Amino acid sequence: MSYIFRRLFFYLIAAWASITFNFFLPRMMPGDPGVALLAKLRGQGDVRPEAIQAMMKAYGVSDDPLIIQYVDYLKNMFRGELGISTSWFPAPVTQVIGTGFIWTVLLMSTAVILSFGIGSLLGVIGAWKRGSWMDNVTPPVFVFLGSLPYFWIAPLLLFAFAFHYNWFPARHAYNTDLSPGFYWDFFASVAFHMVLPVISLLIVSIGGWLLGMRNTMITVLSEDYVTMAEAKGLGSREVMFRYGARNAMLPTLTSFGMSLGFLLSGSLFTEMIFAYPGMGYLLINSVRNLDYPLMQGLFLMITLAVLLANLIVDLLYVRLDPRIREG
Amino acid sequence: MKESRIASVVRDFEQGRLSRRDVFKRFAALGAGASVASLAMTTGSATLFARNAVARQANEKGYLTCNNEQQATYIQNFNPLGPAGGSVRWLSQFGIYEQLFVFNTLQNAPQPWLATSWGFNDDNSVLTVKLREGVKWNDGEDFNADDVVFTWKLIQGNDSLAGNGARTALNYIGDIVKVDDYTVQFIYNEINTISVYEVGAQIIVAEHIWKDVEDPVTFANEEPVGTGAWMLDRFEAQIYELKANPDYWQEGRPYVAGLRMPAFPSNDSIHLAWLNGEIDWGGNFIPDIEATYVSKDPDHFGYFFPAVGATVALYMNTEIAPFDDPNVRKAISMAIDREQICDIAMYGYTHPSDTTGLSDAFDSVKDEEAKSAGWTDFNLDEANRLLDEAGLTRDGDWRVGPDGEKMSYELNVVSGWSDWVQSCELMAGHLKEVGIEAILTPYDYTPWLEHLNEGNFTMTIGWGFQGPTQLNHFRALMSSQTYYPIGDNRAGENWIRFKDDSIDELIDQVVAVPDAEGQNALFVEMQKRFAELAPCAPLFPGPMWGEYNTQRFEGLPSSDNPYSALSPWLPELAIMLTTVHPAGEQPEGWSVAAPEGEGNVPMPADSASPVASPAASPVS
Repeated sequence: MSYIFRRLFFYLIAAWASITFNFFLPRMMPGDPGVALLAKLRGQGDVRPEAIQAMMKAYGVSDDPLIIQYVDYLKNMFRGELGISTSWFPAPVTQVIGTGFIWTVLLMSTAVILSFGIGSLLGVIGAWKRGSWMDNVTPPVFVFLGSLPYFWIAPLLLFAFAFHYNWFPARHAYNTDLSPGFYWDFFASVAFHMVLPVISLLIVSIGGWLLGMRNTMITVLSEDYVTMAEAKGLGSREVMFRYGARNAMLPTLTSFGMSLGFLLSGSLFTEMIFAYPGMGYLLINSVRNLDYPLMQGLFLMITLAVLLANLIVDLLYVRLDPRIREG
Repeated sequence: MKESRIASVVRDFEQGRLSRRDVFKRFAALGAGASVASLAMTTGSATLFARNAVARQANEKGYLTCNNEQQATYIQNFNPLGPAGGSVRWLSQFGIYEQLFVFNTLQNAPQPWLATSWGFNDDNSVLTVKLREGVKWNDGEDFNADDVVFTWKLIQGNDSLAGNGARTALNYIGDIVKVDDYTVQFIYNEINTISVYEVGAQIIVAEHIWKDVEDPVTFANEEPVGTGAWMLDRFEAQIYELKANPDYWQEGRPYVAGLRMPAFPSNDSIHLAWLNGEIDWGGNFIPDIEATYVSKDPDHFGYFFPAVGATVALYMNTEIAPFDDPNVRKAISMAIDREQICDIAMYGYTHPSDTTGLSDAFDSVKDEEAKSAGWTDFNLDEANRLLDEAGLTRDGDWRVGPDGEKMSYELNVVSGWSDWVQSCELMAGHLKEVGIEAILTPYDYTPWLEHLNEGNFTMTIGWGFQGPTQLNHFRALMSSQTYYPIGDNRAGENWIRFKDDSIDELIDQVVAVPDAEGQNALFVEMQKRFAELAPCAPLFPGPMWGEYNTQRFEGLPSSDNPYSALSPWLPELAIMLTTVHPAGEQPEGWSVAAPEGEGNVPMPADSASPVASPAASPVS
């Protein structure tokens, strides 16, 4: 129990530290938000200085000393007010994040879970059937695929299957003729539009999970209790999963937790190439436009998600690994 | 356009020529990949697959598909007075809401729109504007002088409202009064006749809606009520659609049922849609457009890039020696092979600039002498001679500068803007021929702009400044009005830190002249001064990007019918969208939209005493 409290306390400190970094780091970036604003408008023809002044006033680019801004920031955060985005002025940050949040969660969690599931399964089977053709072929193939640059694989998939063959949609999260709602056609459209992006993400990420699982599995399989289980006459599938995989899974579970935490940062390339709405695009845009409120809002969500995922994995570890409970 | 066999089966099914059984048989013949298709076909989601494969060719409502913003998702905001750039939807200005007159960049002339005529009095202190009668807001209320006065007072009273013209004009205008229901007068505190273009550009909003708005700056205006040809139909995160205003004031127009704007986050996704024939109108930079786009369907795919956008130039910081010497600037200008830059970096889309530095928009008013001063011609011998005479002698391959060091300078450019980067690479090669080393220094957009604003640069490529008159160009590059010393980052235009007294005098004179001929005579003097002093090295006039696809709609501007530029960000879109019609269905007596009006005429300011306008400022 005290273990849990100690972990909780540690996470609270980590949360406070990351929130503080979250505030100061963007402001240490070179560049002036006013110039960023001017830069954005410049492409729209001759923008007179008076118009710039008016807009900077509207955006509330602040002149207060940093420490006052920091205290205001903390106060607003506890009230759940993340401020107004300057690059999507006057939409509040929560509204802007909302446009991408659900899609990122949907796409990335599907990709991460599928990739973890398939990769780990292949790793378990590969380790079990060590030396077979499957073990000789699948790890090298997937590691090779994983080392191919993503910005090459994704456009290739798009070009081949969405453009050349017209089998899959080329953009968006769902068919633009439909309105979002709880009906079958909409869900089917969403699923259909997710196929190419998810496949592209799977291709590059399965290799990592596969190797990780296979290696820990090999270590576990050489343990005495596995030999004991086999000697006792248990079926090979049962030994493979209940004795081997369960124990081998522990280290990969930590990585899985971290991945789930980071999924909120989205995948910028996927979103750009497949024109899929999401948080990655919001992130890069907020950095380009020096949109401090939006940047802070996004970084806050990502750091809290990572911390939460880590905390859950920590607590889960206690449940899964009896050695920690005793010790 | 190449269609896959699956797509042709699907199309036949959609059009009723095949039964589901036939579809199965055909797909069985096509093999494995078809099983997915047949599975999709048999469920209710057959229509989704069909849409994907083929219905990109047409959308049922007959809406014109167009694009001007790069967004991943849309936020519902149609506030036409709000700060532009990402937050307000394109088409709020000029599509849903309108302005007093539309300045046609290609024709270089104003087109009466919500105003029929306008003009100054004898001493240019009062601008009278006569409004069009019979215009209605799309909720049925009448448009009249109350709306114009209200809009201007709203902007005047609220420092955070940028507007799209009013803010600058209000530097000179003191009051706006209603004379009668269809006449408004602008009373000037400081004479500036050229500000009439800003008055004409300002979007007008409805007094009866906006008087109750608490904060016009953050007002999202989700259900816009405008005078324009378009009204909100549907708004989703990935697409928004506008439908034609059935009571629009131009009789019979628009000819198109509606517009649809799907969200595209990047240039690449837009290009893909162009190649697929999914977009009808847009304005994107497409490299090598003949080969990449037009060749896919030469009968329907087309583009129109008139070089009427601001000139792109090589800027030198004129407060750093030796760039303070006009002969050195001219020499560098003559070392540049502009033809090569236009052919290679700009794919032949534009042509070399002349020595006025103005784009093709002002071709009809360029002075012969001023534009042929010769220092934009490619002439290595002359360049070398001028540099020798300026005392910059050669020491081996490179010349020695006034500080005794090798002449080696950073040439700033925005990283990722391929046309500029290529132009700079070519220029570095050209300058090497005359013994000057130019080191390509790429920056991200915002830091690049900051360097320029602060004057923290030696050489850079950059755009020029262009407005409805030549004033913007000369004021930005040669006037003390825009001058700030190096280190002061307010220099949004005069990056080169150049000022000239005679230009200042000419500018003071030109803003007191109400008619175009008088103004042009003074501008000719400015052109000559520019040709004499060469403050920068103009490279080429900026092409205004515009592409079209006539598979579904015809009537947009093109090189065959250049009634305006084709670019979707211009105010002229109001003209384009009320002229375009469905392909093959040209309306009786079809013509380019050109609402009647006398335009700019002298208006003595005697009229009846002004009427006090109702509730001019919003409820706070």
